[in-house]
Amino acid sequence: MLEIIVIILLIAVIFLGVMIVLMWLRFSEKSKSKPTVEEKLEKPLEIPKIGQEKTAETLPEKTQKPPSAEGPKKPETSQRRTKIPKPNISPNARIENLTEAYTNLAGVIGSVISDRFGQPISVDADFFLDKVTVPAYLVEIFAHAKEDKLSIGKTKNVLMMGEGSYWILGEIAGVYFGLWIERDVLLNDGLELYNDFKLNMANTLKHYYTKIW
Amino acid sequence: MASVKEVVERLAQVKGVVGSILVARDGLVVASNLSVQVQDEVVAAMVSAIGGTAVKASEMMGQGKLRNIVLEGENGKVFLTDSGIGYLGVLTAPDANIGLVRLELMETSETLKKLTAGAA
Repeated sequence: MLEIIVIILLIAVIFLGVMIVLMWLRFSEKSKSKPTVEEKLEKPLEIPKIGQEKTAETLPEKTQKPPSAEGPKKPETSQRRTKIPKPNISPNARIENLTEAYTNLAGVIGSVISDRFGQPISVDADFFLDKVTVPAYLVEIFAHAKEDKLSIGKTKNVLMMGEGSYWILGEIAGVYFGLWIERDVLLNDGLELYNDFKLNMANTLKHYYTKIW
Repeated sequence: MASVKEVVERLAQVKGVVGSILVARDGLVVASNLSVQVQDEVVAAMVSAIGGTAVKASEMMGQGKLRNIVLEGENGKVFLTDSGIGYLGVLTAPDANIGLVRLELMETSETLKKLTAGAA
């Protein structure tokens, strides 16, 4: 009987001891997180001025934004170079319709088609363009390029790079043509458009002008 | 400082470039580094003629000052630019990188402008 009482007392003592240790640990944690009275006294008091209560309340909300996992956003860079969509040319389009259709494209400033003597067949441009002089120069440049003294074979096209734009000049069946393109348009896109223009010109010439020649 | 001839010859070391030539506005050869297959005088005359026409045409065609002109042929390309003292021409293979050659051409042109400042 005595042994049982001793065992019960031992268990009670151990239980009390564990309880005391646990309470001590909890108390010590609370005392660490709370600022002491001395720390409180050292910290200066921030009293919002009259009329600034709202800002004082709202400011921390604005400034303390949660840091995003992706990090700071990069500024969106504007795409300087633009790609030109090809125009829809009807199968019955005449040669005059071609220059109009291509000039109306965004990125294309103008287009010129002239005969082998430098006389304009069709000229369209967003800005002022001398309709007589430009085809004449076009043919003159191509006439030089066609003389095979530079050992580059038959001239396929001529690129003229200016300050804010460039021209792509070409020739098909004795008809000279040129596209005036903005500098923002990539050269490869410009050449692609030039080839499309050339193809449409070939179709138009084949459709309407074969009998004349 | 490198001479005009050295600067022009250095241009021919770019990948795809077959030869380079610097021609005065009147068509006389200033410096050249062309292969034996083409005659310097003939190329110089052509470069001068095309350059002169292109500069005038560029102004008339609303482009302002001409930066460069590229003639694309079946067997190669010719790049031209105004280098102050005259026209700088580069002959390349048909598969030459247009962007790279143009960049080198413009850089060489600027170098030549600095070298020949006051001579033009």
